[in-house]
Amino acid sequence: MGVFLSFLLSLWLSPAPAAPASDQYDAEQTRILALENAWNQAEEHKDIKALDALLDPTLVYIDYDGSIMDKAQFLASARAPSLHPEQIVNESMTAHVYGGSAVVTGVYREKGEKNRKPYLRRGRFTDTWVFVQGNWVCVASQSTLISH
Amino acid sequence: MKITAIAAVLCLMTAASAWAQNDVESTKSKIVALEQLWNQAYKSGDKKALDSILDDGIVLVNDDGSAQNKAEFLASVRPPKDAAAQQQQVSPESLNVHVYGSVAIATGVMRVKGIEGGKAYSRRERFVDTWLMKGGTWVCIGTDATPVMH
Repeated sequence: MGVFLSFLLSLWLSPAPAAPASDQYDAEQTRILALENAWNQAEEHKDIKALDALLDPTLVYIDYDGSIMDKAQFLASARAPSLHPEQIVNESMTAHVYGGSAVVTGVYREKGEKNRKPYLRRGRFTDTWVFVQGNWVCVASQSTLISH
Repeated sequence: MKITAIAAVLCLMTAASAWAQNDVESTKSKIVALEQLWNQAYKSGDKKALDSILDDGIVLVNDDGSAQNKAEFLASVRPPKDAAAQQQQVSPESLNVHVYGSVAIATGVMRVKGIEGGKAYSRRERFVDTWLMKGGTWVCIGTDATPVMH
């Protein structure tokens, strides 16, 4: 089992404590932000199993160039031998939790090599998470390059 | 007796499934209508209508990667007489809706046109809008637009 998948499982399996609503809100925010970081780590390490666990089968993924992918296409692109992401970091992130759904917006920076050419990108992303059968899974993800 | 009971359960399951399917289809229709309302309200500078369909906590990500909160977005909406100064959205070329209980995701491609640096532009953008059933009404809690490069 990959390190990141183990981490994801520990996040999911840790029981939700009986706490005041604000504490529970904070706990869910923390959990979702941790999943966002786990996503970056999984992409960097090409841990497809961990990525698979984070994404709903109906995922809609909009890449920085406006192309659209479903879950299978996104996993295939992450697995591609021609892609070598060296570093994916989130400079900032904010999660709004609405009961069993959450929207995360933030700014990411990614550098690496694709088809033997280096790339460096900075963009803003929006991810939508829903709580399905006891787990948070991402159902929509979109990134937009920051041009100014 | 056993066969009757099984038949009854199957009928109930079929009815429940049909009801759930109708519910999803009904939600999809509502979201499509709200997307059209948003488009019309933006074109006509109807801030009141926009205010009613956007959640107070919404974050709007524009096609240049800039972000706005609800107040900033509403302040940027111009009345129709100044419409030339603001980006104009044309009806979506495509629109798909996925429903997850009280959450719906609308994705599509929109053609936008406007004037930038004195020059007219027209481009295609892919968008994702996240809608939430809140207090008995659907409100948008997140929207992001990305120019289609290829």
